[in-house]
Amino acid sequence: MTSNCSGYYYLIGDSVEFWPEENLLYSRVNGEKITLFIAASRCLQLLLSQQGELVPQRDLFEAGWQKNGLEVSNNTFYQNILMLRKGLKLAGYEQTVIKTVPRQGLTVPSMVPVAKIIPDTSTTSAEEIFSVEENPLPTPSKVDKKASSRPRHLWAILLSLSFGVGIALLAAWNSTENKNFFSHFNFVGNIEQCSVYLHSGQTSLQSYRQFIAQNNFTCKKQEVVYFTANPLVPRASVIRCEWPFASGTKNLCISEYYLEWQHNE
Amino acid sequence: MNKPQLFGVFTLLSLLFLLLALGAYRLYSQYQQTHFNCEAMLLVHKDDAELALMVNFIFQGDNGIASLKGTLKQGDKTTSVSRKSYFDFNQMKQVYHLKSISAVTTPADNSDSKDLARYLPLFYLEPGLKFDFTAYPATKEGYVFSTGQVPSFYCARK
Repeated sequence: MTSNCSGYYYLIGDSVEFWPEENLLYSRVNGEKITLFIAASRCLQLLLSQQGELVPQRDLFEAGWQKNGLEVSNNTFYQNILMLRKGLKLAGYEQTVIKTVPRQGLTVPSMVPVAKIIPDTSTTSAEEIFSVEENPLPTPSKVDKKASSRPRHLWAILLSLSFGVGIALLAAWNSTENKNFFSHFNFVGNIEQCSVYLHSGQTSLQSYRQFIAQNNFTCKKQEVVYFTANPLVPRASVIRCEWPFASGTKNLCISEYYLEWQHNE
Repeated sequence: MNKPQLFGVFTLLSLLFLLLALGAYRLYSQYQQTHFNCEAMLLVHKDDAELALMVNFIFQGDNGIASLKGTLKQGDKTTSVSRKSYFDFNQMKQVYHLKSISAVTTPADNSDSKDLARYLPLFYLEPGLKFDFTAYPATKEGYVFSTGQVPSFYCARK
């Protein structure tokens, strides 16, 4: 049986959350979840609630075991405290949280930053999504690390998606803005060794044939020629290139401009 | 913050990011259209004359330089051309409005400006003259400059 985390939790050093009702340590640093012994959990709860004060051993015995009608040896008690310390380290808090005062008890020093936090019940935070076993394992255990990092992944995916959409929009915009002028030319075939392209809509093949005849125009083998002549303008343009224009390839071209040449019908 | 609030914040952030990206791209694109160099190999034919030039344009935001180097053949006579025209310009989409500030003839030039004026716009030869042309993108590698229905030359980005 699983249950959602509820109630309050203690935040230790901005990095570890301790959920007393769930007997759980949750690391904000590495997403680690450590389920504690119920007794160890009660001890930690008592220590945190009386932070800065010395908590006698007998009070800890009472809170952890005797309250539930159980007896406990010193050895078991210290094993539980040791597990608590290991659990806190495993959750990413390296400094000492629980300090032993020999022959007197334990304390959580005031200098340890601890905050008791009561979450907004309407809020679903990253920490609230995990679920834990009702009966904790006898040793601190790792609990489904993937599940805890899922919300972060979701954010990363959504932001990546947004970024992707942005890039796609830019690419679309870019492609509409950077049109290739030579896409207005139509290939009409190979004429006298070179590939001839004519400006669509204003240049006829007849005018090109007349142009090459009148100007003794010759081209090199495999040269690409872009020809434009407008019946209304006494001009002709020839742009000779090494190869057809295509996006992303450099082209070496020579432009020839003929003043006062006009196609005669 | 609850789920709908988080979603709202995320949506706003996404939109903000998109707008910023689009704005930045727009600025970059605008900058590219007014800051570039290009070079053209140009032959101008008229009757039995041929003007062969390497034309180099430098656009630097709101001013630039057009550099012309080559030869002019008129019948049996060949002269050298080496001139620079400094200009101010503004750009509206693909249309560039230029005004020559000064025209410099280098010592290597022995051509007659009156002869050149038969093959080139006066803008390249004299200061204080306006000149408009359209620069059509020809892939991302260059532009085709045109003053009207017929393209003048292809200018390759450098």
